[in-house]
Amino acid sequence: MTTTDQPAQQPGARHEIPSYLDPNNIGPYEIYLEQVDRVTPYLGKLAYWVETLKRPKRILVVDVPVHLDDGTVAHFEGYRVQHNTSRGPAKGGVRYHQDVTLSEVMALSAWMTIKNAAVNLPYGGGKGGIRLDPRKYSQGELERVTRRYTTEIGLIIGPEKDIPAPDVNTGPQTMAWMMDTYSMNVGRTATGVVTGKPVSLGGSLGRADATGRGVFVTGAEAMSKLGMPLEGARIAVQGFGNVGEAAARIFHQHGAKIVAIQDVTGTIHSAAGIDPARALAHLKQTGKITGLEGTEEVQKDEFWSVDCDVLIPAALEKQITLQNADKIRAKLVVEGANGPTIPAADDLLAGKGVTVVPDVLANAGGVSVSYFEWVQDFSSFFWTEDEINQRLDRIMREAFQSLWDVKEKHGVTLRTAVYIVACTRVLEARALRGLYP
Amino acid sequence: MRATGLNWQGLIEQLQQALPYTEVTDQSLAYFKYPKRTVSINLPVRMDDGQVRMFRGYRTVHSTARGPSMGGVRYKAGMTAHECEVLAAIMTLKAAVADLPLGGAKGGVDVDPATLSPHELEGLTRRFTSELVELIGKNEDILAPDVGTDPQVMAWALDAYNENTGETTNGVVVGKPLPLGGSYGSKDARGRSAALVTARVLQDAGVPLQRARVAVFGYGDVARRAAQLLAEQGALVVALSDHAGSEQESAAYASSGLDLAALEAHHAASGSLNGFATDITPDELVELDVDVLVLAYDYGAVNAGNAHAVRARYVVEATNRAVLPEAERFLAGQGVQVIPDVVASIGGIVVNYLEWVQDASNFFWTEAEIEAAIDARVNAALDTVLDFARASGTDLRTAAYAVALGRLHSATVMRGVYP
Repeated sequence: MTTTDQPAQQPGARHEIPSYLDPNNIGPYEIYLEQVDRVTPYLGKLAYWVETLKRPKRILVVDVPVHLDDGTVAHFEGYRVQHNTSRGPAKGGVRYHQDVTLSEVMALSAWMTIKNAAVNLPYGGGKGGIRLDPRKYSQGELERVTRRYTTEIGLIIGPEKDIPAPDVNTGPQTMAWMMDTYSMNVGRTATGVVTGKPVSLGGSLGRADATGRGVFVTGAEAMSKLGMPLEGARIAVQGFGNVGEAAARIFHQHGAKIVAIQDVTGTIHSAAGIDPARALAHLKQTGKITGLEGTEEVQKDEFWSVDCDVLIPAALEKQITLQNADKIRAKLVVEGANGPTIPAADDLLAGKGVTVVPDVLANAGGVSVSYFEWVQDFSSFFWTEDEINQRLDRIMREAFQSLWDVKEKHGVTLRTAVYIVACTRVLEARALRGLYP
Repeated sequence: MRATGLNWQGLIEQLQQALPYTEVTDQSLAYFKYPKRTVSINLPVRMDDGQVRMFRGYRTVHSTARGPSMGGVRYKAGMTAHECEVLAAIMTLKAAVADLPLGGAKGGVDVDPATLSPHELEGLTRRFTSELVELIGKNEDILAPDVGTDPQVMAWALDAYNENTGETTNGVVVGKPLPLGGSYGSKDARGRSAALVTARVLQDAGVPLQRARVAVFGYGDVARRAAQLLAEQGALVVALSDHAGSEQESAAYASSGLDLAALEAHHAASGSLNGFATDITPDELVELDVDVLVLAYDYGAVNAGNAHAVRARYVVEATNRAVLPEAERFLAGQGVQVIPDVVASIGGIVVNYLEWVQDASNFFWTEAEIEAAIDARVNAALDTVLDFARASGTDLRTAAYAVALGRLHSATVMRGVYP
């Protein structure tokens, strides 16, 4: 949210901090609470229910004891937070990291509520985590941790209750173990209890390209709103992995020109345009992006001042900063990565008239295909990649349109519009459902 | 003016007329005569004044031979278990005519919802749902809106069920608001099927719909949508009646046809259909000299008391049991064709079925996809019924009942008798 988006009226009282958080060190959940406070004046009558957004529905803290390979028993702290289920079951990843805290899991689960509602998926928000450094444990130990954790949170997860997914340091193998443990415990095959599974265990096609494809669809929609032709548009991409490579490839297929690519191995530029397929082949062959025929290598910092129409940060967080934001010549930034723009740089871009398609929208292709996976698991009937892509395009286009409408209506940035739309949708469902009993 | 109560015996007699055209035996008809289950529940609700008031609630599951049961919940003064049973049986027939994998159910509470505050209505709905929580479910028995209930009531029922079971199971209730797993087309489907079926029956008989004079009894979603769709196809809608309450009944008549959009604006502004064209009463509407009379408000609109005065050539049951059996016998003798509820109003159960299908996978369709799916099912059901009527020389109701009984019979026989 940028400073220019501050509504006139500011809530006076500070929010109540739950007793289970340390009032002197609230952690990431405080950031979320402030975001909700700032958007409250836009919620109209629904603000009556706003407190329900500030309190997670349910928090489960579990002890995860496992036998280590050396014969000793280790104990880990595990969490599962269901922030909200007004619009559907909780949904969100499980991360394994030594620094995981309850406040962090609470905040991440709340952001899942926001993201799912912004894209209009029929989900609430959830998140889980285990406090452990996975690099220090063997595969067997990690499998035992995963199975015990799944059993401990098994009381509250399920295809119609709460659906975990991979996150930091977890992947398809972790999801396969979770699916197997849950299925054994309930006595039936329950593929829909987790998403991000291997394709052979009820996973979905189209996953590899999903995030990059969503970047393309939302980027192209924004270009059409801004009157920028796709044909011949000059694109600069930071990051050439899963997201950046797919986005570059699909933009290229639709007639856009990739003028610069940066990854960890270097930065290349060509005003005439780079063929992403050739760049990928070159990277596979030589292990680096630089040296591709027909391109020039440029300095790392020069990437930001490349003359282009669209900039796609698809690598790491905190890349667009006060050091480089004023050099950016693109009219449109599409955030393929999570949190690539620091808030002060976001304000600077807004001041320059640069439109930013925020991460929550631009990289939601991933969670959308997770949703498709869950849908397919209900009927155990699986769609073709074409069907997945068509449906993904529709979800992304509709999400973009509703956020754009709100941006225009309130004169705010797309990033603020995400919160307005998401909080409105969640509270609309809450108001309709009322309070049990 | 309307006959009180629905007649179980009348329904069974009509079904028996269909038996000679099917392989259904009296033995298998017996399954139909005895509803699977009727539950009567007491509902204590704390009223706004602090007093606890008791309400009587009911839920009949008529048949689950072809699948889980589905049916409305009506909040209506004078609601009885008997009314639930008859209406649940009609739902079984409708689901079978539409060839849906569902059985029929109906429920209700003896209450005039207009006398309750929203808070009291919510409390009543949550208690009703909680009392039934062991019996309902997306694979057991699915609740839907009906007379006196709406999407908000369904949202409360959904929330109460989910909190009781600890799951997010959208499919236990249909007719929900869109943000809670509802479907497009819910409001329009019954009016849509009534108009579609009427147009096709007239076409089949070689009667042009263009300039046909239509009177519509009712002014709810069904009546308005049917009137609008028939007018769009060139029919002249000459009268509509509003039944906002016995004290405030009103109706508008214009022999050259009503401007429906202007009438809607007038109704929105004044709360009445009076004062727009020629004021008549709903009773007089039934007696108008028209080609088509569409009945879209509650059962029994045409009954033994007024059947002799009906001058329309086609009477369309856009709502359940709008023509009571004895009136129907009289009309048949006069050469009036009744287009029965089990065909004309199946749009309602079809769209509810489609919502349930979407909820089962949590994947939601576009409005255009829903409308195409409704039309396809209504057309398929009508084709079957028209073919049957032609081949066996029966009226449409007998044909529809024969089709439905045949489908129920084969499901019942193949399943056998448990245990």
